Amino acid sequence: MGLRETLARLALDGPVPVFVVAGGGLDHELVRLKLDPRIRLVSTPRSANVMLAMGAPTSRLLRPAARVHDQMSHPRATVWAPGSASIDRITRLFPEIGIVRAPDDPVDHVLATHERLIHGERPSEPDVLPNEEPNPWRGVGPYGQGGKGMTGGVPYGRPLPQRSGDRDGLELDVLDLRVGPFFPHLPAGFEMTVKLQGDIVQEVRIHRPPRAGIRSDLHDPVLQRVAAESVCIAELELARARHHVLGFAGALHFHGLQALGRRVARMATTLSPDSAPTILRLRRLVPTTGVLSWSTKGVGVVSRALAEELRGPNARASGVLRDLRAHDPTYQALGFEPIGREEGDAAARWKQRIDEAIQSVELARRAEGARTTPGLGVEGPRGPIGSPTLTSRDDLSIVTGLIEGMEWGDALTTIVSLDLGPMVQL
Amino acid sequence: MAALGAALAVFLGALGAVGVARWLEGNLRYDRGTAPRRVPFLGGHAPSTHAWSRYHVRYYTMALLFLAFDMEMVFMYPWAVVFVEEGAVALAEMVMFIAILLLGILYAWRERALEWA
Repeated sequence: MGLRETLARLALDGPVPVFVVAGGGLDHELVRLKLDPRIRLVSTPRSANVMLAMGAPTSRLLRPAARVHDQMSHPRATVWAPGSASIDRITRLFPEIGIVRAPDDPVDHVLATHERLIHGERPSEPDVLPNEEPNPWRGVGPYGQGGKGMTGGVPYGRPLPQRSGDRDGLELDVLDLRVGPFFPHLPAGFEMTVKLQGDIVQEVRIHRPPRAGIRSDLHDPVLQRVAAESVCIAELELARARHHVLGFAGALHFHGLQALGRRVARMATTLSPDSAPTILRLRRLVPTTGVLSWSTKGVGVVSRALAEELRGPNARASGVLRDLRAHDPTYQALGFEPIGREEGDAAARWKQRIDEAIQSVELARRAEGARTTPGLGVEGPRGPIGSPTLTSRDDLSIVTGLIEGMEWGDALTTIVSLDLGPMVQL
Repeated sequence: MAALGAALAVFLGALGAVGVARWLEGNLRYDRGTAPRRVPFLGGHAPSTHAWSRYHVRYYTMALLFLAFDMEMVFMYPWAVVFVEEGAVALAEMVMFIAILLLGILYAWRERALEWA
């Protein structure tokens, strides 16, 4: 066996590194991908061989998708699962690359594409964007930066950072970065411009996408139906528990505990009215990992006054016990009482969601045939269902206020812990 | 004649080494990639400013504190040598010295020098 075959065999042996470019409305699909042992979702395109794009593209997101595509190392391929959408727009920007239509299981296509790629039966895809330096080398100044002195000019097409104000007696530079819309762990379509001084977030501007495209921020079929019709409370509560446990699995993934995250996500897909002891076991296991202590405790504290503007578990984790279920006679008959916490930090928000998941599973066990009462409004996993389908403007201004002054890692921890809805649909 | 042969051998050897190094460079060098591939990953956008920037080295206060307390050890070595001779007086002196240094730590702590940001 030659060297090439041996290397190919080794490359095909493990899970395929995949970078996912996904739009809003695909949370569950993403969790399913995270659970699949045949592929491994990586957090940067550099370590991926296959880019899996999902959803119908809007023209605003095609260029960022192309940029992410070009950042992958060779050999690379793209699998686009546009769902029912037309692929005209995609093929216009990606004329040279082969797009695999994936009507059923995108993972099968990813595997087949990867195998052909590794065996050399399919060429590695060329760049989509033109191979041009944003500004060519000018050869002026001691570093070729195109100006006098070290800070003059625009080396490689980008101006040098601006000098920021005095901080600890030092005047330092700030980096202006536009993060998103395909930054892993942030909600789909989340884009923000941050001014970083070292690793401290100085200033944030969150870009609010046009509302078009998103139908609902919830992807569970039960949660989508519940605003319009009466549904079985047991089903609704299980869907809520599933949402929270899946969200927590995502948080574990974000904090670097991928294996535990996979285990928890698998648990979420098999929740039943008798699952309360299982979630309790999870609740006891988690403190040993440190995710709910040193990395989230005291991070992103939402004060009680600020929490009045928030909804759902985010508000309840800061002591604002607002829950539509408390006014529903059916829930009152089941002995429902809203639970809450006082701390209001990222750890409290996750503990709150796990506690609510346990509560929901117990409600589901007691509910038997009870159904929701139409017209009373329904409390969803992110707050009342039906009112704002997108993450609201208030949420975003609170996020901005919270993360300014934080270190970058804490800022991401805070955003993840707020469980924001999708911002845009791809 | 033998010396000339040796010099020739060294020359040829050096030439061969340069050839091998050139071949290795041509075949194994890191591929810098195309312009769009070199762009740092931010989730779909290109950075607007250059990364060539001055930032706060946040550990410097801790480094200074470490240096100060590292120097106390310099005093402790000669002290250890004469400790048996001097007895309780030496012990009392060292306790006073360390107590003064501890005040320094408490001061630095109060001034939040041990916090990262």
